[in-house]
Amino acid sequence: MGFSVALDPLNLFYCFLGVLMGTLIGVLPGIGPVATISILLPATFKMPPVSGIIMLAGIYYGAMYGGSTTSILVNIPGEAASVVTCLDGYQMARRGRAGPALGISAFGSFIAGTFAVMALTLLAPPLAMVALQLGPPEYFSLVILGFTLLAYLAHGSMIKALMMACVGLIMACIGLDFISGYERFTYGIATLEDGIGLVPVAMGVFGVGEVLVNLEESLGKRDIFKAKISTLLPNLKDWKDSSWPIIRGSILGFFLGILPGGGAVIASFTSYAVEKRFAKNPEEFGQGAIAGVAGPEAANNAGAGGNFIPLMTLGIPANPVMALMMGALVIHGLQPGPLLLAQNPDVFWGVITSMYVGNLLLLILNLPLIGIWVRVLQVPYPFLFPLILLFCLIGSYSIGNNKFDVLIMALFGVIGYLLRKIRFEAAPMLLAMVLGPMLEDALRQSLIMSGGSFQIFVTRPYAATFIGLAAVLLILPVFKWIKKNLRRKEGKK
Amino acid sequence: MNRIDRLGSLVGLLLAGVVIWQSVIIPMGTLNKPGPGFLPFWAGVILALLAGLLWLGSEKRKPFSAPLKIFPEEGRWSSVIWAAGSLLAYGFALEVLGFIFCTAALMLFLFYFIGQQKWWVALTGSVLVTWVAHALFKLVLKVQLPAGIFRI
Repeated sequence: MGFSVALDPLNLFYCFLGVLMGTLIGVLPGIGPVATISILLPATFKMPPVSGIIMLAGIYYGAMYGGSTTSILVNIPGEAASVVTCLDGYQMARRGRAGPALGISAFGSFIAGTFAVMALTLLAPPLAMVALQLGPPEYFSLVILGFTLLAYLAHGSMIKALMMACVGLIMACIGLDFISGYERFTYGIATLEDGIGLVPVAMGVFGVGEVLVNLEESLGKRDIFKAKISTLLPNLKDWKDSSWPIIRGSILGFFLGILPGGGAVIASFTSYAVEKRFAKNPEEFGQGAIAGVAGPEAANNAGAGGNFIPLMTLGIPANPVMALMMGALVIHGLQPGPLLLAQNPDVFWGVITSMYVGNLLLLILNLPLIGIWVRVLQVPYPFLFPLILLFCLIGSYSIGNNKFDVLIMALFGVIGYLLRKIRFEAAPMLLAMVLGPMLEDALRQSLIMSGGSFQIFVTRPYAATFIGLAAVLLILPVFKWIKKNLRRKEGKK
Repeated sequence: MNRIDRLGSLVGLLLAGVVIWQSVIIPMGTLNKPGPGFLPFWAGVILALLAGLLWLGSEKRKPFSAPLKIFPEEGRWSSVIWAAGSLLAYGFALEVLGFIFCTAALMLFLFYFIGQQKWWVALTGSVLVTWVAHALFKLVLKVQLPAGIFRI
């Protein structure tokens, strides 16, 4: 069923379009998959649902492929997940080995992407069956665990990440209460009765905010590696040095991708640390070690595939991209989660199978088109940023033909810029906006079921497990802090 | 002492205060039947607690290597203000003046004043981008874009 959907000519076309656009935005620093998916989401309204989701999914994992190109050639990551590739990829390019770096990156991404899709195919149905047994207390606990994991894995401070999650929850409360119909925080503004849209916020924070930061810093001046790229094929030694990193990166990336807050970024950093740890000559890392490119690139693609597991089986997005995918599914009248497999198996299997096709298309596209991507990189930023802003403006307006969405986007663009200034991450806020209604619904239903007792969250096994894990993650930093202070006091003595 | 964290903490405390104050106006319900004010109230309380912890932690944390400068002297911060302002102006004017006029004006502004391109490059760019955007979004993708008072 999946292949019949994925190989339908229309879906093949949208898959191709998605991976092509994804690679392009992965190549371009300054715009990422979140902003692009949010911009293109309204364009999918006129498409059949499965075609729209296939295209949006293609943009996501395509961006993981494209991000490595700028990392290797320009030493600027096209994507957050490709930051680590800069360390060794650019050094390889400086030594005249840009071709093999790009080649191993493409092949490693393909192998890892295919592995991730196969694992998704095997794991998703049994997980969906387990998910059907989960009730409101389990969903509440799972979302709390998700927030805690996200905060624990955040790049910056855990406290700040949790603060942003609270802000997102509060934003999710704006509008009509879905149970009582009571207006919350609308202050008489009719447009606010429907709440603040996810898409304008995402476009603002990630699209406009990024542009504003770039405008302030340097107007995006960059030096592009100019030497001719002669061959893209890695030699035998390159394959020998890359095989185990690709295998390790694929497995690590996929399982990290399942975790909320996990995904491509964490996977790539972790893979780099692991490869350095396992390397016979760790001093080569940072000087052009091909394992430092192969492992992280495999991990980030596998992580992108793993991200789909919690969304498709539990209806819980693991990161902002998945949050937008969830929004896309809902807008198209589909319910992400365990019922998606039961009620819309064509969508479920069609999307998963399209990822096999998409990975193959990416391998075929990436190698010959590298010359074109290099030319795209040479488009000066002063010409690029107005286009990015324009796409954001049109994208936000087209959601509901309402200028209010444009104003929200612009406002959150400024907020996104300021958040970066005071070192707060926006991802927890966005995730909380998406999960807030689910969390509130689950909480209220659970308390009604239990007659107002919170014991329901500790007496049910799955709920207790999730809450227990969340508690451990919250307490761990406290233990570390106490241990650190005790050591400091002993040192002073 | 970390001034950036202190600023973040103050903003968090302020926001939490407003949310808690407004949430108590909304019916909170009871524990066995929580009302619409229940979640925002407790989200506000948790936000306040976290902001307080951040403040306490900022006492002991070292400052970030880059000092807090919302508007650094050497940065192009004025470009940020103008760009943000132009987006807000675009939002307000879009349905009045129409997509084509607003887009052309915005592109001209961004190319010339912020992108610092030559006037003829900015003019050509704005016309080209507006034309392509109109063709792509309105004619091909059938996105409804406002015609405005000029009816174009």
